[in-house]
Amino acid sequence: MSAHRNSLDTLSALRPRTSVTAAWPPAVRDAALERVLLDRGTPAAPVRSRFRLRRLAVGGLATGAVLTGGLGVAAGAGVLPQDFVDTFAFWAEDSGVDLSTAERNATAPGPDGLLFSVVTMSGPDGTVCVAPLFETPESASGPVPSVFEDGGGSCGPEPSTEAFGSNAAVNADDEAHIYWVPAGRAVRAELTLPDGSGYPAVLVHGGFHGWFPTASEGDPVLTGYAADGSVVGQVGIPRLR
Amino acid sequence: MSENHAAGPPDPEASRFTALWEQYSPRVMGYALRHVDPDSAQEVVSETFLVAWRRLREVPGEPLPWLLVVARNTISNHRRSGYRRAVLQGELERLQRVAEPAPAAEVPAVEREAVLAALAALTQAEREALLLVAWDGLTAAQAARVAGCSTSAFSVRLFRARRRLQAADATTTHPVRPTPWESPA
Repeated sequence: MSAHRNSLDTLSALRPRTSVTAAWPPAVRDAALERVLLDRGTPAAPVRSRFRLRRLAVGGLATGAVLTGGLGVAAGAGVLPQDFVDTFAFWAEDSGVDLSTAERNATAPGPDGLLFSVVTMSGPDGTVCVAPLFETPESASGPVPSVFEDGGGSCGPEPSTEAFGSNAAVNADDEAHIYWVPAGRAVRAELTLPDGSGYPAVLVHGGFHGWFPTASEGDPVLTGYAADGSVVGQVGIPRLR
Repeated sequence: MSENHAAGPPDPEASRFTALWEQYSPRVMGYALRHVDPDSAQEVVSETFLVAWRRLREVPGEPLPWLLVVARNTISNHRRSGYRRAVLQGELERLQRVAEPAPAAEVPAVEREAVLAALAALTQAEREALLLVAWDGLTAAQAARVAGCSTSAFSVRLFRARRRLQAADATTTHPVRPTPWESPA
């Protein structure tokens, strides 16, 4: 491809114009309009009007939550991005956490120039909700994510005290798997793939959170390390796709 | 569209609907051609505008996002009733068919092929994000409605798609994959 034209400019130049006319000649289009005008009185087929974002989860982290957005809870806080409020408002309702306590606890490199961040929110009864997500670098410069892709999460009263690798939870889509594993006495962890590549794991609220690309091959293994550098254990992260 | 209501006073609703059709049916057709074969695309446009005709009072002042949401639902219904999801080669063929055959002076054929190949290699969600903005002319908020996700999730998708397309621009010989994190020695 030549260097003088950006691929996005080329893409815009390829916006369909005459190609639509070629595929749908005016005479055919006029005939279609006539039919539609006449068909107004025939029974209508059912049309879905809403879509849902699905959350996949296994193991102990399943929240069963479905994001519908626009709930409006905590919108009056004024300092939180509306998309953040829309996405996590259900936690305020279900778990009683205060969205204004949202805090980005850890950030690591993510796929395609994005950042992998883990955000926590807490409630007056000690409940803490933990939300891993991908966000843009611009979003990561703000106090809480504003442009992000939610990766699931969970709420609980206290940090997990389970042994390293004794449990696991995984959310996945076509792009990435996001996982959680209890830390136990491990203070650092690293996920590796059979090809030797490594992906970050961050420790938040008693658990390691991380990701790996869905398109990768082989079984990913998370290795936990104690403070003295010794290996605490290894656990395979299940693939959902 | 020639005269179709010669007798009697003009029907304001029919006039509005006809204007809607004239202005937006080619754009809905362009959207449908990206997802299904030409014959099915014509059915999708007809069904989409039949919904608009029946619910004309619900059609907003900026109708394209609304029409594309209906078109998307219609396509989903077609798929549920037996449409087979295309493989990568099918995507590329469909894109080559629907993309403007631009004159060489504007877009050299080799550039056109390279961009369309890179586009076909994206995930369906990423490709849709790019084209809703670049071809359909929607804003991120409008496109998010059509894609069925939040604006922030759509923005991430669009960001990722643009990066991948530009990465393919930089090198067309390597597959586009996330960059692994380098673990400390």
